[in-house]
Amino acid sequence: MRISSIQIFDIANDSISQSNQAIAKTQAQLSTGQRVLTPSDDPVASTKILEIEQNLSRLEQYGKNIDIAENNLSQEESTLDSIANLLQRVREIAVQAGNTATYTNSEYNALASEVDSRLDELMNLLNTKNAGGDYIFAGYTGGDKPFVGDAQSGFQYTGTDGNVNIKISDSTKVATSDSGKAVFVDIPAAQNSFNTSASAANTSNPASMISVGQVVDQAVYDEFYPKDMVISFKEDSAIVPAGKNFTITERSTGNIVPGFQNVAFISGQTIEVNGLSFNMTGTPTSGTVTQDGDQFFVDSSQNQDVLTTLARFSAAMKQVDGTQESKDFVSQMVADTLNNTNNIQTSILETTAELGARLNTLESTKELHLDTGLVSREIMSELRDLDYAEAASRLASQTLILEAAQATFVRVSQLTLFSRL
Amino acid sequence: MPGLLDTAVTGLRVSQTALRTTGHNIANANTPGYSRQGIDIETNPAQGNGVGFIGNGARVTAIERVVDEFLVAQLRTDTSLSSELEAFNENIRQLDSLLSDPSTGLSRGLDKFFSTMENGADDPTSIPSRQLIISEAENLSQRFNTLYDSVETVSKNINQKLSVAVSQINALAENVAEINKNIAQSIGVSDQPPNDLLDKREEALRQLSQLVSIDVVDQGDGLLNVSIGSGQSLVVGGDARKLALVDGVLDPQQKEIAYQDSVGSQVISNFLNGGEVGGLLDFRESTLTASFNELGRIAIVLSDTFNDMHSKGIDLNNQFGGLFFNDVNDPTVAGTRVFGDSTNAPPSDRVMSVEINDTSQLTASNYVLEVASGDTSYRVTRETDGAVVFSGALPSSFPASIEFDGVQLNFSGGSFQAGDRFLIQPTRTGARDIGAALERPDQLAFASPVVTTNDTGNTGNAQINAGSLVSLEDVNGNALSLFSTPGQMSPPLLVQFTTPTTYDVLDNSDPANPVQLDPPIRNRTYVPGQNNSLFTQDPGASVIVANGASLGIGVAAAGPGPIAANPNGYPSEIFSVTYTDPATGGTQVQSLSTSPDDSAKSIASQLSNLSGVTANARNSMTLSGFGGLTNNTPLQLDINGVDLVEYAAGIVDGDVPNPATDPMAFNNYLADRVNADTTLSAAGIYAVAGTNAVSGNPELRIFSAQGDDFNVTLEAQGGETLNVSDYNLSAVNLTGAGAGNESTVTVGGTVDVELSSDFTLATNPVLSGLFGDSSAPGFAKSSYLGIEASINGVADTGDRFTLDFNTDGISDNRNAIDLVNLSSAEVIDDGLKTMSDSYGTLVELVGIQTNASGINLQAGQQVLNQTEDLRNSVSGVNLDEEAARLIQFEQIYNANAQVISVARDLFDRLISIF
Repeated sequence: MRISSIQIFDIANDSISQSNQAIAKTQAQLSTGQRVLTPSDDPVASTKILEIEQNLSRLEQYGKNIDIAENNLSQEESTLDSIANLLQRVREIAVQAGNTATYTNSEYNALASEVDSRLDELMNLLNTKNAGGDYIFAGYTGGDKPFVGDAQSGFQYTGTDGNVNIKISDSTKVATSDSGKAVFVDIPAAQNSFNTSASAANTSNPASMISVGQVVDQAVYDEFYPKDMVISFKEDSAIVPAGKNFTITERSTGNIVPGFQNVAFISGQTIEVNGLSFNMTGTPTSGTVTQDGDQFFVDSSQNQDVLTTLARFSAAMKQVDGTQESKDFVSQMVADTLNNTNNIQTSILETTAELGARLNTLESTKELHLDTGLVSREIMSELRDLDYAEAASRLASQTLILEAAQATFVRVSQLTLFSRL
Repeated sequence: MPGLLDTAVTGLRVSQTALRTTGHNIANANTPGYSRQGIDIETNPAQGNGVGFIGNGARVTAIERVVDEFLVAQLRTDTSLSSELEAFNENIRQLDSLLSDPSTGLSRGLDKFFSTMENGADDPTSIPSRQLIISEAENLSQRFNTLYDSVETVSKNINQKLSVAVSQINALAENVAEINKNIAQSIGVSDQPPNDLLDKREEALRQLSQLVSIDVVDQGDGLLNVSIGSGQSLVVGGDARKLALVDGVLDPQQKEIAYQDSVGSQVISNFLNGGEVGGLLDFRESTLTASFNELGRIAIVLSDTFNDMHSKGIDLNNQFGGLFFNDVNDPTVAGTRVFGDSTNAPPSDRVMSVEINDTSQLTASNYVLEVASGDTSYRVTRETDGAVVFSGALPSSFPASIEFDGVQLNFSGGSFQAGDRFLIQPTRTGARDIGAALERPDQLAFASPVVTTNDTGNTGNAQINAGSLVSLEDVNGNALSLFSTPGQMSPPLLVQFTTPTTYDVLDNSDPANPVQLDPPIRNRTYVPGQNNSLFTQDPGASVIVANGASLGIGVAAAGPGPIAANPNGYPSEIFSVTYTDPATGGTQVQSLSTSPDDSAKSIASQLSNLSGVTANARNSMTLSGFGGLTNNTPLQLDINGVDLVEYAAGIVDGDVPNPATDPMAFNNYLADRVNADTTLSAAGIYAVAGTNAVSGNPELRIFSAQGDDFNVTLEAQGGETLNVSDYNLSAVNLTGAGAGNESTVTVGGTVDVELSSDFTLATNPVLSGLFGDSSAPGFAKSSYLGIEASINGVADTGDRFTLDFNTDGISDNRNAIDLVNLSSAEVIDDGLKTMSDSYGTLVELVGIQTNASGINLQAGQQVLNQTEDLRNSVSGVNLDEEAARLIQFEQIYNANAQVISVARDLFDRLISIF
């Protein structure tokens, strides 16, 4: 074939520029260590790489989530531990208090005051905050103290049911808090029990209160159980002389509890009804002929919260007046308290066991993430990373080709007849 | 001798011409488009004499280009192809690296945003993590905006490049036309080919084919005609047509190439192919639009799904979440998604807008709405696959709207008319319009508005789940009432178990006195051991509460016993349930007719057999006025055939309390008797001994969970009475008339009917004795509350569960986790792709196209190189060859000169003789 002079230059140009391009690419690959520099280098692999990168970043995030969850759970675990210790002390006191034959009024008072101070300590523990300043046993309402009240106004759990969950993998969430209600409130009581509360709709200010009360006659109460009672303040004119008065009805039927229609109200006076005793204090709002005033609820329950258990135990010891009757009541309460604290400890143990299970889940998920991450990184490395040996030998052959092209060009370009004319 | 001289001179001339041509070749060795030239030499005609013909030397007949026309044409084709691929590749490479680069691409941005979101969910009360989410949302929006701007720059560059290409095409066409004229002239003057002009024209045509694919036709007389595209002429003889770059008819952002003359312009872009122009147009059509739209779609889906989910949560101030990102249907944006064709008939007054309805249906395509030229019918075509997604007739009144592919197109007004065309771009500017809308960290709505509580007094082990908000809007998009008051649930709800297997959901506004909701959710069946969903999840569900005049207590009858039970007196009626298909408007009717005196239980069962209907019967009655009875024989009270008063030895048992003196005890006695009876219990009938709220007198409330009729029969001493009243407080007194005489009455039950979406119930007669006036407004009331909750486990009578507003639920991260889950939710293409998938698909698409165009480009260049090689091989100058020629012709020249010298010697010799 005939060759024109321009072809000689074109061939040199083309081959040198092609070699240059190839070397530049190999150089870029070598300096980044990556085989795939842009998606067009290997579209399928690069989509896969994007996916894996996303996966890895998610795994990293899950790792952080797991750390946070572990912190939260550990804190809860140690708080539960303190509470269990505290309850152990209360149980010791209860055992002591069982010595009704030898203990005197003043000794009971001393024991009661220790229970009271344990109660305060317990209140603090139940209202433990985490590092972020949120109450850990409050359910969703971490900004508000979950356990409020005292023996006089009744104890209330103002948090919510429900756990705060943290996502630790694509499909797994782990609860990192427990509702105080589940752990400390919904505790099976030794005997049928009750809770008192004031209606949220009450208008008296300062709010009138209902005490936690006691079951004073379990047999009578068991007969009434499981009905609930509603205490409604009626119009003042319903009694003579006119004054604050209340009626107690049975919630589901509306039946008036015999003997408790329009009872004159005296703040702090003990009310005994259906085997229960409690008192109401303050100045409740009176009702009108058509509408009830302040209302209080006495709800039957198989459960009794930990604070009420301690408060009722303390109250029982305080009422010891040396009579056999009061001592019998104390021994009954000692038995109940031992039983109830046992149930609470069981609940705490169960929760601790569950915390352990969750921590295990966290640990195993963490390991799974590590494994998945390793495999993903390996796959990504296979997809994206450069085989240095291959690249180095490629670079060597490419430079060889370039050098050859350059050398050839130098030689060929000198081959001109004109230089010999 | 003069002959010899002359012959030598011809030789000199020939070799001079040959030397000049060789020189010309050497001089043009590097001139683009130059074809080497050679000379044709011929012997001059010989002179005849006696001995024969004596030659007269040689002459040059022509100087010719060495050229292969086939290769020239091939070169143009290959040039077109190669520059088309080059233009395509050059542009798509920009997109390729733009989309995949970690600092500009979306992938890392999305990852980072969702990671920050997870940090927020881990510690929902932390203000710094919340602040970080807000700044990350801004960063992500900016990333979208930057990507849009970069793609927009690529798009603008294309317009610029097209503009340069058009002016080059015009100049070259002008050039070709001019050369055409010159060539024609030259050929007219002499018969010889104007070699260099031909080369020049070929070079101009080659340059033209770099810009756009051309067809060249020889017109004869040395004139070449050039046409582009599918035969649109560019050069005819000595005339060149002018091209111009004009705004797109439909989309003014896209410049188009058009013929420009005094009359106007005619767009020919869609006919053009090949060359740089072809590559640019191809890239714009195949890749750029898809990139814009895919990015926009991801931005719109992200904004919309996030806003939607965020609006279902509550923030640190107990407010529902506001806009997280800018509203995708902001009126200022919705109006910019439609462009009218610039050739639509004036006045240009049509106002349209495009709103996004359902992001899961959204496509990444543009649409064209075309009104037929003859009438007012129009159709909407999806550009990616040419499918007609909607057809209809122009609206006659405004505003009107149509829906297709998750998009709602609004006709707001204007003189829409035959022949109109509109371009609809739902997603094109999505990536430009996205922006973070939240400003303060406390506005992040991480909590769910619903909180549920198991009542501490519950004796069963049933548990309610955490509950969640499903929707704030009813089926028509109006706000539901449950969360219409800020910061509370109105009303708070109470789930109360009436038996272990039935429950009511009540309005718990007054905890001391919960009341039925309107419409009621009552007497619902509870199945222990499975998840019992408390609320309908059908947004179109409605409830009809039967309140016809015939319901309830019937007519009393008296006579010697045993007296037959009086029927409940319910009329025979015809009910028809109509289903209307929301898509087609077609209807299906199911009918049934009840028999006279059917019990509520039976009516409910018949209604429930119809599809789309769940009927729920119940019955209750109250027995009171016990003071009007005594426990003297023959007292007997019989309910549905069960005798309640115990007898011993033919007289009333002494244990039966005397109702006259102790009505409360008698009441309790009756209640115990009812509840202890296995027949009644098995039928779901139970009794509660209660006290009348008004009079304070004892009353026996008897309930049937299944809507059985109650047949009450009294036998008592003459004059003794018992009051029987139904749930509507209509009452009848049964009166005793001594032994052997009975007085009886039947209380019929009532029915609640739940209808699924798109079902309606009609009664015949319209004023139904059972259901009341079925034509009255509000006959069927929506029962959709927009929340979800379920109870699981074994429940006991009296167990209670409450649902309330999650006030101050600042540690609650349920909504935050739902927001995080959007990262892996398949929200695109009807549940097929996640947002990252969708972006990955775009990157892959561009990557594959870049990769393919790179390979094609290499092949194209290879082909071009070969053709160029071939052409150079034929037409290129080889300097060595020319050097040899130079020497060859120099020697010929020298030889001829030598001939002249010989001639002169001969002449001199001759002269010197004399």
